[in-house]
Amino acid sequence: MLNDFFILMKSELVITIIIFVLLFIKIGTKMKNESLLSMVQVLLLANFIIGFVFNKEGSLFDGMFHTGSLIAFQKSILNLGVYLISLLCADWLKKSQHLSEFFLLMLSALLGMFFLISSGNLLIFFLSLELATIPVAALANFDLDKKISSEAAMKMILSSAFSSGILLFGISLMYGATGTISFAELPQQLDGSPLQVLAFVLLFTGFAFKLSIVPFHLWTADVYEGSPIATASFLSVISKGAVAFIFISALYKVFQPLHEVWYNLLMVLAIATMVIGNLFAIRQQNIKRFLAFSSIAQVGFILVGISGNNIAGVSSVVYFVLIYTFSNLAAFGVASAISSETGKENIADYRGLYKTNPFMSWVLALALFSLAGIPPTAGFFGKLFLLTAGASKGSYWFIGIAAMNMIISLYYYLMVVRAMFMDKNDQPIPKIKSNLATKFALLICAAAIVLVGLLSWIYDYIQSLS
Amino acid sequence: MAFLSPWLYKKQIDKSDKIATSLSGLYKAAYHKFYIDELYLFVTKKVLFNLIGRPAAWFDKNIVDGLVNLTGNTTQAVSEKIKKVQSGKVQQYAIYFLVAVIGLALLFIYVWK
Amino acid sequence: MNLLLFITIPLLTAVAVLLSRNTQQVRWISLVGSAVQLAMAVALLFLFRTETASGNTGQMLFERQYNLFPTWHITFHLGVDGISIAMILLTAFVVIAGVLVSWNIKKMTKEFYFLLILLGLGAYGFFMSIDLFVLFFFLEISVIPKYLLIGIWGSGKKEYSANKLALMLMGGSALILVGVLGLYFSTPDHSFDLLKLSRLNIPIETQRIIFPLLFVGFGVFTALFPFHTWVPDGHSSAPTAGSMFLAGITMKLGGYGCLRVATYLLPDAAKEYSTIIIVLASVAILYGAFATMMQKDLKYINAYSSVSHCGFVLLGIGMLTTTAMTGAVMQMVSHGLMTALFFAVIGMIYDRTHTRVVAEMGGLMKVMPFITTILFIVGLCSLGLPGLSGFVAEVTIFMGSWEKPDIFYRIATIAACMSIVVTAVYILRAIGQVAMGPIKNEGYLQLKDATWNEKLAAIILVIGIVAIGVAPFWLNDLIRPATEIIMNKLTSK
Repeated sequence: MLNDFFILMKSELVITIIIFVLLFIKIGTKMKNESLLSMVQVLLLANFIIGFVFNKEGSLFDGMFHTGSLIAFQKSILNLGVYLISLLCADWLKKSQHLSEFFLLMLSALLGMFFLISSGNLLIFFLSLELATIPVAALANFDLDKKISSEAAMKMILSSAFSSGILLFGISLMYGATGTISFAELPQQLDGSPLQVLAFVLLFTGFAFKLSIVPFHLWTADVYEGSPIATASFLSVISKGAVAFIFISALYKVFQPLHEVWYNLLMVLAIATMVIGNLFAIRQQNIKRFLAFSSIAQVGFILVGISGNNIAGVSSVVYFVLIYTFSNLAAFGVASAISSETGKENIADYRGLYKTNPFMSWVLALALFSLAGIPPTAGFFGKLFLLTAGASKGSYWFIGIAAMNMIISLYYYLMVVRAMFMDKNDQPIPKIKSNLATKFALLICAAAIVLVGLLSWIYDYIQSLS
Repeated sequence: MAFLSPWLYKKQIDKSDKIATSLSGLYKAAYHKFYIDELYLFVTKKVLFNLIGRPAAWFDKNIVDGLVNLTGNTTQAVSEKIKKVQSGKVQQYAIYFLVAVIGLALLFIYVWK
Repeated sequence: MNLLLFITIPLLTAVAVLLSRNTQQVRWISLVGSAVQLAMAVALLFLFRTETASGNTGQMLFERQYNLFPTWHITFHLGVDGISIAMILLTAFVVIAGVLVSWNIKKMTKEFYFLLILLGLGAYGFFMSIDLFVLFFFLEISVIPKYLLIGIWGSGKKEYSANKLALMLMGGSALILVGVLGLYFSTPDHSFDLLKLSRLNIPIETQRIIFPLLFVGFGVFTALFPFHTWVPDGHSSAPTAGSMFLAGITMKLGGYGCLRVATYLLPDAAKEYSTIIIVLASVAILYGAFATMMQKDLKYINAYSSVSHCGFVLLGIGMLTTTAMTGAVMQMVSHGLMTALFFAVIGMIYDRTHTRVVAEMGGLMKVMPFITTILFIVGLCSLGLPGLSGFVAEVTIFMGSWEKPDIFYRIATIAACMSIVVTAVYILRAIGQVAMGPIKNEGYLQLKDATWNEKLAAIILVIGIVAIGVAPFWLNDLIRPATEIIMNKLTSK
């Protein structure tokens, strides 16, 4: 029994241990930033590797917590993401005055996300969602000397409080309408009555807020722009990824009886999300806002994939999130390296980057191509599988609109590529001397972007898990 | 022809002048090579170029190309129109959120079964 | 013959180019790599002939199949038949000519050659793929290299043209994607495999929806009217090798797709839509020809002329007879070689005179005899002089179109024939003014004739053109069995 406890909760336990270690270090000794950073990186890497061994199915605490090999893999992806962030933003992190607090907060949020993916009933779901959100609001404020950072944090906490209120209302209505909060029992009680549909829609908006689905996305751009890049990348990749995982599992398993409702809901929202995300991205000049709207559009695609109600949809989403992690983190990573050294965050400043920083330009270009879905990058396979899963319902218009949106997104991704490779600049960004860790992480991301698609066994492995 | 030419040339030259004045129309046509050159130039310059070629090139540059550019410009214009929604005011965000929730709930309970 | 070589050799060449240290290495590696590809393509041709001669009647030869994504029934399925081999040969010829013509590019040479070879790789893969997913993969691979080639090394309004090209081609690909997904789900056991799909009986209602998606999608690549507008700006702003590739190969990707994917897999819909296709193709032929007459820039002349000539390809496909389709494939090969050569020559002239405007040039024959001779050969091929490949292709298409007795088809054929006259007008005007007459600019007297790399590139392409023009039977025998299979599917319903 105790054995079970340790094995099933291994990822969570390791993260908790790391949190406490950080706490003791903060209270006790005075550790230099470099060594602290390296220590955290090693520990995260260790957790990532542990995530692949000793996986078994099982549930704990009377069904409140359950896990399996797919869930363990999902947690590993999130873990990998945090590890990459710690490498990519090393320059900014080293200069930070409150490095241990940063990781305390981020790892607490990560812990919340682990519990979120493993949640077994509505209450634990809500609890872990809050744990995943509140520390991030503090993280958004981490550029302590900038007013815009505080603004981002305020907007984040206010928006999430509002959304949590509505979510909680939905949860209570759901309990009232079905008499249970357990995910295992919920499907049997669902019969599509209006009260249940209302409760479902309210619940849905909780997911929609975290995933930045239109029209619940309005906080995204402002928060990403104000936060330090490490937080923005965390929000964009890890937070969205975790919620996407629990979202698809909730829709396919728990709310399956309501699938006609959510199919139509997803169709409407997917189109809105892709279109609005793309339309706003065209206008952006700040690279962080640009990436914010680009992630909104990417989520639209994920919704297309989920809407198909296809078994292969689960593996497609997991696969896509993995690829999206690498692509988006690479893009944020380059932005972070440039920002921490020169403070420049406008796309116009990226002009002529190729002349001075060829490696970074290529990595950013590769990441953007992957986000656009151009072969041979992995993003192509990810998007295509999502579209195929979504097309199984047979609506040509829906898939056609999704495909058309790929064209618009290509336009704005090419805008950045054009700035880097083709435009001239009298004062281009000088050669960035970045950390070895950053270069290493960028190289991993670039290699992953190219290889993950072509190495088809990776997708088959994911498929076998689900 | 073999008999005509010695007759025209052996005697004096004025015979050809007389023929020229008497058969003036035919002479003129033959002199100008039956106006074939003018006809050719007329057909190519006036008809092919001006009536067909120029409009074709104009059509391609302005209408067909114009449609393509129009799609691009429309996207930009729509984007310009809706940018006000992202106002930066959290109160407005909350209102939009609420309206969306209520709207979606109503839509899916009453309208779209 | 291991078809994978057509992917691995270009890939190795590209990687070697990336790793090389100086411009000399880059050039020579690319040259050797493309020469090897040319040798392989010719070898493939001969091996194919021996196989078919020894009685192997399989539809696709040298097949290879590897499981890629079993969940989605995607396999890496390669195979060739006559049509594919003709296109692979074309690609090999154009790539090596492109490599040679770009010998003197100084700006970011490494990246330039890398992108060029990548384009070739995409084309080879496209022509060899039997699995539609893999086909789409290879089709899309070339979008970014084209964008970068035009945007970085191009001239004129290059950013605008690069954007227009990338977005319009992506638009075509989006339509193809929806069509391919439609095909995938129309089968009970979900397959992307071309051969499996061809044996199915797809209901006519589904065909009516999917066929336009596929045909228009591929048509965007082949300058189907009215989606051809990326051609003039794209071809003219691109660097020489880029234009050669764009006009020579990219436009043929579309024609191949229209034939192999749209018409072959959806024969009933093809019959229903054939009237529209013929109308649009005829419009493209005549409209392109007339628009060309008004152009003043040599590159724009060739670009619009490509719209017109590729209209012939679509006309041949739309006519739905074996001879017409064979002619269409021949026209793809012939026009590919010819237009590549034309752009190569224009590039050579531009490098020397720094102008592409016809009115500013004149009397170049005295100064650059080799280049102007090639210019004449190209021009004559374009207007269909017998002895060169243009005549063979166009005549075959006309013969195939004339087989249909209906008045509508006859009118379309006559209209297409008339375009030859218009072609003659603009070609002879342009070339005559450039090559003959008095020298307009004193500075031209100092210009030098073609260098060794340019001569080699031109000769390679001319060999191809003349080989088809003088002895077309080898090409006909190559293509005809494959088009017959396609026709059988059309007539068996």
